[in-house]
Amino acid sequence: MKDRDQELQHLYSLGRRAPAREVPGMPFGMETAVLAHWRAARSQRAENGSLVRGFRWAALVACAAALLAGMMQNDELTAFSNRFDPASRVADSAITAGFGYE
Amino acid sequence: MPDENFDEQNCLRRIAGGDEAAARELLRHFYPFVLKLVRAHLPRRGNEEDLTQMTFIKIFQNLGQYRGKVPLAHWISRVTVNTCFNALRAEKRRPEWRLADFDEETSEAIERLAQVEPDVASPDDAREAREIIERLLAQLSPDDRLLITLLHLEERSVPEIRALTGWSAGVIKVRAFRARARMKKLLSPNETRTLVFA
Repeated sequence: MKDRDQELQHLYSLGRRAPAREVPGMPFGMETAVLAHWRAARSQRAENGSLVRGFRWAALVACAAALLAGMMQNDELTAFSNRFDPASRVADSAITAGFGYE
Repeated sequence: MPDENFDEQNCLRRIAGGDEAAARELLRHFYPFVLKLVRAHLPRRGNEEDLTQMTFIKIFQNLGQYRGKVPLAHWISRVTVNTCFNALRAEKRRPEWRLADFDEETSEAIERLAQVEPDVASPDDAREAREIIERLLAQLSPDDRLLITLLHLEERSVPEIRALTGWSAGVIKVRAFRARARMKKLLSPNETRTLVFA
């Protein structure tokens, strides 16, 4: 096995000395193909980015609308409660509690 | 690297901004570097042009992930080696060739090369040795092949291989031990040859 080891080391040593092949110019069409892929990937990313941005805005608007609606409902209930005397308010409160408003 | 004055950071900034001229510059600058790496790790039946192109496509696809923690050339080496490694994995091993099936001519070549002193070896001898090694490497698994190429043909250190492949030092050492044993085994069936080294 020692011989084999030596033999391999010798082959590696010779193999490392193999002259590097000349680097030719870039093949015709490679640059165009690579850059075309790059452009396509960029525009895809941009599209995805605008979609994500769109979703983000839609989510923000939905949250704001929900908040606004909640506030308006709360105002309505408060205004409704304030229109009556204390006894009616107690009764209203019991009714709304029964309907699950509170 | 052909151009020492290549301004990497500026080029990367321009590419991030979508400058096509900068992308072209990067491609032209690293083309010889990537091609040499691809040649060193090319599957036997692989096409170096196709693999180089695929490597550059991956480089541009993932350029946004480059954080500048290592030199760009190192990062590009890693992408290239991984691309070649995947191509090697896709290529099945060639069971049709074994060293035991060496023809007379190849056996004679190995015996003759054993007499050649590496320091005075002619380019033809070196090329012949390289060809024999590559035929042997084609018998190994992609992991073993990559490891033997990096360790013995490119003489990379374990930390360098670690950086290129992402394997741990322990994995590299164990795999290297097994890969060397497999290479020896590939040479072993032909026990009739007696070798005298120069």
